[in-house]
Amino acid sequence: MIELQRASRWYGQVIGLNDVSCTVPRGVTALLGPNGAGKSTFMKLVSGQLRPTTGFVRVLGDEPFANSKVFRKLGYCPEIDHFYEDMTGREFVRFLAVLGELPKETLDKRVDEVIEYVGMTVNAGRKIAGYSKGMRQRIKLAQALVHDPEVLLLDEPLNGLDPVGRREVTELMRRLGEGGKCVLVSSHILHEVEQMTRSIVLVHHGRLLAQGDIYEIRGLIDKHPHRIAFRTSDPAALARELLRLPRVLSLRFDDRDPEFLEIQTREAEAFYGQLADVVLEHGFVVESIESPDNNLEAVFRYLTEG
Amino acid sequence: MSSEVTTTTIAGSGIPTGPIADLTYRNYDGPLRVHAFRWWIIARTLLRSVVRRWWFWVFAVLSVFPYLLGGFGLFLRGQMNSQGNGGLLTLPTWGTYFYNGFTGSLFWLFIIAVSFGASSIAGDNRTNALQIYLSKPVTKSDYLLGKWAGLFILLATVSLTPMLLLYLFALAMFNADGFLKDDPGLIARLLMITLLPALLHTSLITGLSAWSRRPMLTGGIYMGLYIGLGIVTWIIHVILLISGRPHIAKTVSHLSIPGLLDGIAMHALNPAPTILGMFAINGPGAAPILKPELLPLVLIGVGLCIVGLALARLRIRAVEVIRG
Repeated sequence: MIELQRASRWYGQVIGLNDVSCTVPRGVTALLGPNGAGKSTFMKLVSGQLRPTTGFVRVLGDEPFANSKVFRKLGYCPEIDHFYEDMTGREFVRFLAVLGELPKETLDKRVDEVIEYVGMTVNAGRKIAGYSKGMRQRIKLAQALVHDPEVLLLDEPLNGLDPVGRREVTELMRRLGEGGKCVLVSSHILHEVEQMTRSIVLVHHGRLLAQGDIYEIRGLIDKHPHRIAFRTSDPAALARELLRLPRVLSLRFDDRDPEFLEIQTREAEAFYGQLADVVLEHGFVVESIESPDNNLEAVFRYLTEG
Repeated sequence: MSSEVTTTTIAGSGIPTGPIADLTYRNYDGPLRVHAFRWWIIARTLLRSVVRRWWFWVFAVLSVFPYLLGGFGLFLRGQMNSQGNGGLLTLPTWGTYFYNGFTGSLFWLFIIAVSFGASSIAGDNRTNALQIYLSKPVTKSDYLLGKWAGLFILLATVSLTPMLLLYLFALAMFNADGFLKDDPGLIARLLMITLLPALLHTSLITGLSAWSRRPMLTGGIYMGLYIGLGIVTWIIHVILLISGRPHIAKTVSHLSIPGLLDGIAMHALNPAPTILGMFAINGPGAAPILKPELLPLVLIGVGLCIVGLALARLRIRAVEVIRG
């Protein structure tokens, strides 16, 4: 639904995005990268607010720059959250719904629907000036959804939300993705993103670093072996047996925690396949198995730190 | 055996609900309608936000006072007509009453333009609201026209309403005394004149506002331009007067924002020199009002409007592009 082909954007001598080619399918995709990585430039190119210096960007098959045809199918929720402070939340969403070309007949019903959907029904009649950051995020989301776009671009939508709010908005994104919309979420709250999607686009220094399923990407990072941590009553005995496996690279105990054992392997999936046999054969009691670096945070760190 | 599910409805909405709220996302299956005048949506929003502010009404009412004085002058004229008059103080031209009202209201129109025009685009720049605006099916031109038209309509309404009321009052009071017959083209000239401040202020302050992220600073700059230019032209005018060039001095004295408006109004309404705006000085020593040259004023006025709009058009964009 979103396609970038060798897209670059220069600001004079400064490069914002450098030769990026990728596609963003239906469902939720997270756009990740540290500050200054090019996330905002990426978002602005896709939302049609910037034109690529070279290459091209297509949204639903059309170039988005200043293209009303694309804007009708696109909902954009920028990071900023100061708008018309004198307006009520409902007035704000209504105003943008009118700009989004909703006709009078369906306008109020649709505005009420999306306000309810983002959980702002009770506060929609209050002025935006009195809103918390979380409320502003929700009302901003409502304006992006009001014309029922096929593509949703959300810049840091979890910022300022309390834990309950984050969970709700995360769930909301996930549902929108499952409903067939293309949702591109830029965020730095990695563990929240992880609950939303496994599909990522990782940019760094203006370049595309990785794209695809987070676990597939993790599997391809050879430089950093997978760490797998166990809690067991007899870590030494378990270690002895695990060492016999060809894929184990190293073992680590923790003298402060007598039940702790951590191994490193390059082939996590193959290791897990053999682990079950070892545990069952020797009757080890394993309380827990964790993979502390098999997550978005670790992948992000490994890829950006080189 | 049949089971019954009790449903309730959300008050007033008719939407059925169960004990657990249905929060699933509902697709919008209604139509989308392309607006012919998208700029009007933006203009209307600006107008709504301004008329909610009480100080707008204070300035608007204050701008009516000069016209009330004009009305009072007309009332006295009626009294003088009925009692007979003559001598040094005579009745001024019809246009004089309107001219006095117009020039008296200029300051308040300027205050309204500064108060509400300075923030029109600068406020959106400051909050980056253009990112949202321009992600909707709205073009830069729609946005600019909407902002421009909103302020223009506001100023034009404030300027035009008391002028028209005064005209109607004069028409009702003095039609029999030749008000319409003496100057049938007056209403057309009045309409043109009253729209000029709206046109000039709106174009200039919209241009300035587009280049700013700080409404207060924009207002300050426009105020400085309005007052500063007035002072500079007045000083040059005095120097030219001393050097014995009164005609050029007169034109130069009108090369400021209020001066342009005043000068053009002089040509359009042909006012007589008056005392308190009510009685024309008509004695042997009374000189007619010296008018500035019209053409330079019109050219400069048109030029300023074009420059203001061009500046705004050049600057409006959703994204702040920083060039390294």
